[in-house]
Amino acid sequence: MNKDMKILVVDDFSTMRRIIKNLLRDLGFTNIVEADDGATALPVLKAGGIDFLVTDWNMPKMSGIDLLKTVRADPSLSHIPILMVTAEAKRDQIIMAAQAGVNGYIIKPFTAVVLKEKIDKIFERLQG
Amino acid sequence: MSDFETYYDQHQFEAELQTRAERLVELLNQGQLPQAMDEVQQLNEMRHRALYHEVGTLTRAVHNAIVGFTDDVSSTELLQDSKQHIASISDATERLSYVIELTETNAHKTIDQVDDALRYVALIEKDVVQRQELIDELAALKKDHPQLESLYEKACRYAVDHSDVLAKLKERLTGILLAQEYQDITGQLIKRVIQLVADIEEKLVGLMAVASRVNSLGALAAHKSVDGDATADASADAERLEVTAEGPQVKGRNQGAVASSQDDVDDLLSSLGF
Repeated sequence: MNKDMKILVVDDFSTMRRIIKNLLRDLGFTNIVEADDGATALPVLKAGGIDFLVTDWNMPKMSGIDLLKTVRADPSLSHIPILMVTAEAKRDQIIMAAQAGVNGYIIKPFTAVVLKEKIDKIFERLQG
Repeated sequence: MSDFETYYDQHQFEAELQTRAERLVELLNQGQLPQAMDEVQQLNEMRHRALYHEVGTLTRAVHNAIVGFTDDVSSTELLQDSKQHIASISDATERLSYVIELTETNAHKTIDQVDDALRYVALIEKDVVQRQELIDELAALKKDHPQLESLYEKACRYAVDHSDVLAKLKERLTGILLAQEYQDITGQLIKRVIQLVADIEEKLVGLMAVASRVNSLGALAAHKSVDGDATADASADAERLEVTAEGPQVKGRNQGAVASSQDDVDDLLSSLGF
């Protein structure tokens, strides 16, 4: 796993963006950019260079699930691995995200260990 | 609208219902059909008014609760520090938004402190690396000077102890950081409550507008009947009234639109007698 990869963190709560950013930094990832919802994340993604997307589900304007679907439907973005970090914990929602092509799903509240495990798993699978 | 007071008392309502019902039976027995129809019309109107009154009272209560939320919250200890700010906010939804703002600001303050603490930990870690270099030098020296063996072992033990403490410190600081995610979860819940409160008030005010229109229809129908139009059948009556129906005209309020501010809600409720 390349520790220099560029990660986009999308969450409408600045506290949560900061927490995720700190945890990622702790895992050795320092190349991190932020967006506060799907609508502001899309231009960043389209500008290119994003290697990994971490997104919340419930956000104003454009939700995480819509962002996920949009990314998967765009040939220039569809390869980007996506990890969802959300308080949405219903079975149906997790299934919906899986069907839309999410690579990992973390339910808030979560721990640093869980974040590390999920990221490791995502990149193990991609390489394997 | 003051005659709604008549229906305020449930017993009074029931008593009038009984009187009118008896009169209706009497009129039917006497074969006075037009007067009987008039009585049915009035019974119907009475029911509308009772319902209208209930809805109006409920809407006023909800509206006052939302506006009056101010006094309840500002006395709680949690928000004492911000009492002055709280006092300047006049409505429940704005207050809830302020709670989100307050928790967000404080969560950021906590994260700031954690960031600072982590920087200090990083400084100590750098010192630990430098000390390890010293220990390595000592290890090289002790080959030629066996009497340094015990000093070397002591230095190694301290180095391990400090590494453990530093690891634990970092773990705790990360724990404090993660604990701040409550802000995201409580914020989301509060946002939903804000939406719920706004929806309830909006729906009730909408219901009031409909109820007042229905009420003015009833009043109009009663007037027509008195004017000697009692023979007109009910369906024709309803059809004509549907066209002429007009809701109350309230300042700052567009027809069909929802009242745009708490003052508008107040105006609307007051104009309807609540």
